[in-house]
Amino acid sequence: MKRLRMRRNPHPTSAIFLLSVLIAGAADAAEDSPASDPLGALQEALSQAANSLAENEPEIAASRYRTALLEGWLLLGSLENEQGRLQQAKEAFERAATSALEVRRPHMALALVEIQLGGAERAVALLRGLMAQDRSDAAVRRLVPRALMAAGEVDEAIQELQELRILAPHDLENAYALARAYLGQDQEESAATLFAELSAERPMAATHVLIGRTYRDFDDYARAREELHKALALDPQVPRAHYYLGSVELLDQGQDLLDQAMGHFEAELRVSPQDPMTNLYLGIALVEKRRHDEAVPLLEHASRTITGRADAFQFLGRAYLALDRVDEAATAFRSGLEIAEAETEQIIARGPVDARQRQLSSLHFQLAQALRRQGDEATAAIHFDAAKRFSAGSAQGARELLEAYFREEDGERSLADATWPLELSPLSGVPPQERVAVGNAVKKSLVQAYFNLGVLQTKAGRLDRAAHQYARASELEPGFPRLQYALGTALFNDGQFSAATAPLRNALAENPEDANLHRMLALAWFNARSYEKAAEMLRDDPGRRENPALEYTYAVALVRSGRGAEAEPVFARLLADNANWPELNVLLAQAHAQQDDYQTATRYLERALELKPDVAEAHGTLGDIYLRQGKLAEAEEALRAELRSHPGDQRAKYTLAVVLDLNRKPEAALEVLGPLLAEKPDFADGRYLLGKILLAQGAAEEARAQLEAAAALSPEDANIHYQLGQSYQRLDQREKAQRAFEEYRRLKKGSGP
Amino acid sequence: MSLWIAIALATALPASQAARELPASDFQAIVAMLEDGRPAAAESELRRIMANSDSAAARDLLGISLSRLDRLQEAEEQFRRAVALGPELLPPRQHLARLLLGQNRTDEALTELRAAAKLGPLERELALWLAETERSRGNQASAERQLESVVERFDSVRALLQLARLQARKGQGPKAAETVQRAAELAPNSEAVLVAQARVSLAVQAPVPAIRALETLTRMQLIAAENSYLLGVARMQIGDMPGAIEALQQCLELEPQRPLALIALGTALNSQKRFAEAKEVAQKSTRLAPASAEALAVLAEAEEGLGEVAPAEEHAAQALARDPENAGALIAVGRIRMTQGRFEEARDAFQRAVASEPDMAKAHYQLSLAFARLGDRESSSKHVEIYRRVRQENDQRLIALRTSAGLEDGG
Repeated sequence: MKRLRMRRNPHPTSAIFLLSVLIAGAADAAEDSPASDPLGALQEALSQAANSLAENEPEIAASRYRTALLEGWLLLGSLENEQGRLQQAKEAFERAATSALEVRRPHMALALVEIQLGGAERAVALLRGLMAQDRSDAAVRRLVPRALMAAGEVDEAIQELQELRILAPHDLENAYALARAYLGQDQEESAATLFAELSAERPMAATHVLIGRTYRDFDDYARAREELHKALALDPQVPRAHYYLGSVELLDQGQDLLDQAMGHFEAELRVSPQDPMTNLYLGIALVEKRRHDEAVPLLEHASRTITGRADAFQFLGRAYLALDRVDEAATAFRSGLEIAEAETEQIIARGPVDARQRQLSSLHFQLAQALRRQGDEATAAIHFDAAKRFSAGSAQGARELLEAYFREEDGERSLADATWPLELSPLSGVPPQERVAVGNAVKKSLVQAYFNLGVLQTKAGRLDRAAHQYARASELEPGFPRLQYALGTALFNDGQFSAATAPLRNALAENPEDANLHRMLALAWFNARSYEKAAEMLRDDPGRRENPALEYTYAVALVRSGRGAEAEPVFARLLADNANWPELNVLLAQAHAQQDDYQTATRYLERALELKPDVAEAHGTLGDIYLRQGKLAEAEEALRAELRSHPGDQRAKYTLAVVLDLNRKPEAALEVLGPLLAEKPDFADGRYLLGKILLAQGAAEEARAQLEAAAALSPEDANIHYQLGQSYQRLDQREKAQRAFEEYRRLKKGSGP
Repeated sequence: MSLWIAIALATALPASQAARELPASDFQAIVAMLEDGRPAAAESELRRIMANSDSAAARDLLGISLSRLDRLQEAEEQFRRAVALGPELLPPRQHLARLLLGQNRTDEALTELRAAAKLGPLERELALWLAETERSRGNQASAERQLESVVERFDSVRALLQLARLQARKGQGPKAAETVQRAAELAPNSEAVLVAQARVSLAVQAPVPAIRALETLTRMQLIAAENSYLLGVARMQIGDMPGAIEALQQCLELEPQRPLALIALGTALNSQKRFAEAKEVAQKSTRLAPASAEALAVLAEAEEGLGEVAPAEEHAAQALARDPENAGALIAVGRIRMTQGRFEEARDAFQRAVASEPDMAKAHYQLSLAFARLGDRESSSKHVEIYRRVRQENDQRLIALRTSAGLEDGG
């Protein structure tokens, strides 16, 4: 593997910008060109989704909402990327990649962010995945060499570029990338041939600026000067030519660097007076020349127009300080320090930290000086200490700094600034000041899409998924109307009571008068076993007295939160007021049956059935009582009645099977057990009963299988081991039988008398 | 204006269509009144007109007006009279059916809609309702006609999915796959469509598109236990065992007690010679599905792989007692016999396994070894070739999965 000789990022920002001039009009440039309105695709998807909803086509609507999510996250990721918030950009693109069927754009974008974050290998993997889907995808293929370069796979990158050149000989962007790669491998002549081709294809001043700048990047200052002068000859007003010439002078050792560089910067400013970087560098040079008055307006402009550049504030502070504008100097140093500190984490993550540490040290030191001159010795001391901590090194001179900046400019810094290929950027036509508004609009649309997907999932009865979509919306905008209510309700109805309490509480805070919400939250607390909170909320529920179920819940909550005395009158009132409530009668019957008071239990059950003949669990409980009393025929009748009303009652099915077996109807019992175990394969009691019946019928092998399964599911059940031992005996497996009987005896002994 | 009224007005009988007669100006005036939310005024105007001349169109509009006034019985009467006056007209019948449906009088609504369907294409919702009702009553052809009509007119994904289900039930797999593909073009990101794609593809033995759909669902975090299970099975079909293991483990995380997923996972683990893990999984599956020959066979294979000959033989015998041609159990028995030097018995077991599952690569491989030990080089070579061919086919499917070709050739 060969490392590329190169000081700078292979695709610096400005190179891409200039390249866009070159590729304008190229045949495939339109392929991924951004829409004129960056929100267009997103809003179109939302609008189409709304139409589909109106036409009662939920699948189409859901699909389009997902398209909206894809477009929205892509936009949001682009915005984050342009702000240099790479981790956030990565997360946004990852969300985009999980939003819809399409992965091409999200994975391309992710690959670019990964390159900037130092994850070039992952970028290569993502791009290779896309290439496997479509090898003729030119946009993807153009990114692959770039990722390979970043991963240090230079030979492979060049191979890709050469292959791409064969496939798309008129792709000028690729030609440029290949020329850069050749320069990196000291193949100057091959590079020069390609650059000549570029100049011929696009005979413009901007082309020569691009080529000149590229030569500069590879320390070929003579060719750089030649190309930049060619550019100026073609068009004396071409932007950036003087700027790069200035940087060439600074970088090319052995000349009177600073004066020549300043001459070029001044010339550049005559062409582009607002150019932020030229303002910055000329300002820095003027500080070095101690021409502070002249430096101040340039650095003020730079600090206003370039976001996230600590150095702009640092040199502005120095100029102010030299002019005795101490307060303004302190403010500028503070701003610079803030930016530098915020960047430090990212910088550390990306690699070399020396330059940043020096900058931090210098900023602390200069701020301390300004503070001392303001008379704030105490704070100044803190910053002196910080300056020492970061570096004991001497402050660099402006010339050295400028040179260092140019050397780093397209390496470290452009990694953060850059690298959305122009043909992908949906934001290229949006002025920076409008991007905040675009970001807000995107978030709003994303929330809408998530919310509506949640509603669709709710309608389809998929409450867990609905809650997931609502939660996503809530992450973006928790205050979205009715969102907390929808989220809380979905979680509540999905049985996630504990999770439901937070959104329900939020929803209740929005609508404190909503009695239903109040009640739902109380029940959520109850089901989440927070009985105290449930009791508190139910105490104040105005509808509780009229709602026996609620009253009952309240009473239980009181008992379980240790307030039994308060619960007693509630129960008494409940009974007095609701003698005709069938479910309450069943509940009371079950309580009495548990205490073997069958007579009272039966009375309550008869009353419940009288009130509501199909009330749940009444016949079942009756069947259970008859079984305990040995009245098998009555028990069978009652349990069958339960199953007629509630065919899904698994407990009733099992009890019926037990009754049938006891009543010597094994075939009928098997008919009940088969479907029951198909529904609930891990039902140990059911497997035990099935094994026992099979054993009695002489099917020892089948019985053994069922009993082994039952023993595994419920290893502490002595009876299972006994029957299992019997089955082994029948199968003449004596050792196993003995072990099973031993286990039976051990468990029996352990279970007491 | 409610959707119901909007539809009703949109399909109200225009004067020109009702040959007998509501002047166009009167018709438009009444529609305007209804659109403005003035049904009482519309009723008065209609009664005034009808005093001079009765017509199906007027009765139909009067029915709509009365419906809006919640005078449903009167509305029904007017719709019925409109039907009587213009039995060949579609709108009054549809309005009557809608009113009946609103009252849960489904049998009467069905009668009206069946009659209406003979006159022309029904409104979207009514056509879908009729299709579903006909399907549930076993009238597949009639249901399909309605669905095809909705698809044709509205590009409805709802209708396409229902149609695909009907086609799949009739065993028309390729046709169902085409129908689902059309739905995918209209709603490519829909979970319901992706699930349908996966199911139909598996049904027509096209695991590659099934895997693509299921992987998309996974990536979109829409994975359910069932989808993970299907993904595992589909990956096993193309021999992607590591992928299958991953999907099946995901399924079991969501639903730990799923016997079929446990059995499939055990099989996949055995194929990767991860016998200890396979044994653990297989034991769990035998607890949950003690009657399953497959579960016992997987357990036997795992034990055989671990060199636990006695339990392997016992479990293989139990599996074969339940399913005498179980290929997994036969392979386990064959391998045990091989280690015992009983090559003829091994060969017989492997031959039975091959007969039971002719596309099982490892059965051919084991059989080739048995033949080789018995000195039958020709038969051994023949089964090695089959083994290679099956493996190659699986590899090609795996490659296809990772490229776009998979979508085109149907796996």
